[in-house]
Amino acid sequence: MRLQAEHIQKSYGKHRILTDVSFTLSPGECVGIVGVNGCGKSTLLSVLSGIAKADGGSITLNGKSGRSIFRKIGLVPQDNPLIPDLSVRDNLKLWYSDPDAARPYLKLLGITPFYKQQIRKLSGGQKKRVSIAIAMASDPAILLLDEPGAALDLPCKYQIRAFLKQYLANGNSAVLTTHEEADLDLCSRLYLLKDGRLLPQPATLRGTELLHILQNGSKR
Amino acid sequence: MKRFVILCQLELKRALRCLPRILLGTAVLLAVIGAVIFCGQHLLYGEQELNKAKIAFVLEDDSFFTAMAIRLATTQSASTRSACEFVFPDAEEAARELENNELAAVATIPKGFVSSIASGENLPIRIDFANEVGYEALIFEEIANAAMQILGSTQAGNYTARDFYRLCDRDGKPLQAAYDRLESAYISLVLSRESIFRAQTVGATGSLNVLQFFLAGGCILFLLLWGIPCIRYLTRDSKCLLAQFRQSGFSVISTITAKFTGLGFLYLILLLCILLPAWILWSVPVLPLILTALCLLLAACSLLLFLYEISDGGIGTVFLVLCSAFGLCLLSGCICPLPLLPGFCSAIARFLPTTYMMNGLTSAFLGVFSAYNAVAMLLSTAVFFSLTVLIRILRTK
Repeated sequence: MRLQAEHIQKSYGKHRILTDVSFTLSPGECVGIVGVNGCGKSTLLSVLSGIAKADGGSITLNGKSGRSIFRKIGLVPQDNPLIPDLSVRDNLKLWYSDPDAARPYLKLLGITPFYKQQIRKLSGGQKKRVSIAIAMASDPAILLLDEPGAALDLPCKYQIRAFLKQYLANGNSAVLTTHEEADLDLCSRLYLLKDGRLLPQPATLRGTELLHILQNGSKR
Repeated sequence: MKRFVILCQLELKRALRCLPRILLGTAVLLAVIGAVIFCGQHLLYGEQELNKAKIAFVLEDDSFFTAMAIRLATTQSASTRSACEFVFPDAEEAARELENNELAAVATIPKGFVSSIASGENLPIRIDFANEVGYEALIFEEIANAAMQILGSTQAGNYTARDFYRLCDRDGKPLQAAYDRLESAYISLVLSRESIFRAQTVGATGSLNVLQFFLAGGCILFLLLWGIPCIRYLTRDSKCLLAQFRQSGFSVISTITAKFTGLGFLYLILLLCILLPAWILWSVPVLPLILTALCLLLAACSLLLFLYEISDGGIGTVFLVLCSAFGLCLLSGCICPLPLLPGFCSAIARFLPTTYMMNGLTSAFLGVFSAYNAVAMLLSTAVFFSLTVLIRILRTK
């Protein structure tokens, strides 16, 4: 599915977060978005997923617009949308109309060992994997991930990246916001979100050059 | 619809998971309330045992009618009699006991008191209070006012007779004779109405006895304060969970209804525990009690959901629930009967949900289901539920 965002604007009160954001996402692509804290990465993903309504611009999926297109877009937010007092099984039951549909993700994301445990007792990495499983409930063609590796241990990060690779290999697309250079290896395109605009960057941008871009908004 | 049912089921499960901690919080709440009552009792009564407040009448006027009038004033109110003990010492003994705080108040009826009412002179009654005095001051003021009204009613007849006699040029000795006869006739007739109060009870607690009143008021207060132990269940869901609900097609109304269902389930358990003793102790008819309890449950749930929605879920919410519970109950007459509160409280009470909760429960204790109060409670439920939905929508916009 082809996602097209054109001239997206979003403000919270008098504070303009997104000024003019435009980009296209083709099937099988993974786009990385980097930016300093508070630049609007999470806001952009909220708008793309339909949670927040854009003040201006348009979002189309295969040329179609409207609320129904967001059913094919899954969001893995930075915080985990989990009910702490319930088990993993009960949390997934809330989002999956067919319980069997969740089984592939239990194995793929390594959730099975703690499937019946209360969310409250899980580690950050385990919660993140459950969040990804929840995002997959609507069988989305496009997955939006907001800093998926934040505060996770290395094995967990590798597991999530492995899941993403397989997801992309199945012809799906993803948009990834991250501060981790290793996550950018999955991305075929890279953007810098600065002053409410998406600025295209070389996909191979790493290290001090990436740091300089983040600090100054342009290459040395 | 199926997903909404699943959501409700999971909310019930979530409520049950929180129940052990809620029960622990309930025990703490009962301990805190018990400590407050214990300290409050000591504050009000010091080292005295919690017996009736002792009030003395010193009768400088030893006329027959004065004694009758005082007896009427001190026996007409069942709730006053349950809280006060009236004694009739001499002046010296009364002053000594008052100084030693053995008396709550001393009322001195001056010589010629009754005839002063008849003549219009209206000698005042002096009332001295002990240094440490509590609610009995209010009760005694009520008695004093009642007594003055009763005795003052004789003046109307006396003045009418005087004016009539003077109109007929029958001043002097005939007028004085008329006064004497009217005095005995009016006061005897007025005071003989005392017998009415042997058959009827008049009290600030209405048709309930004091224990029933405080049980009903305590139920309402406890229902609201129980929102504090439920903090873990009632704390607002995280923003990202609410966003996930929104993205998945769960409306604000459905998520709040599901939460309402879970909270209602917890309250059902609580109400059964509270109202079961009432049913056993007083053999109150079950059906009115159950119907009233359901309405109480709905009203309390919606009010608490609203309070949690407008606050941050932390210590601020605890204070909000605490202050709201006590404030609403006080103004509605759940803690102190409305007749004993200032007049503006009655005006405010009309708009408070706790007033109808209290009235509904009072009726249920008397074996009657009050449809009027039930409708008011349901209306209050609808109002607070709608406000909760509105605030959630505005917050997540």
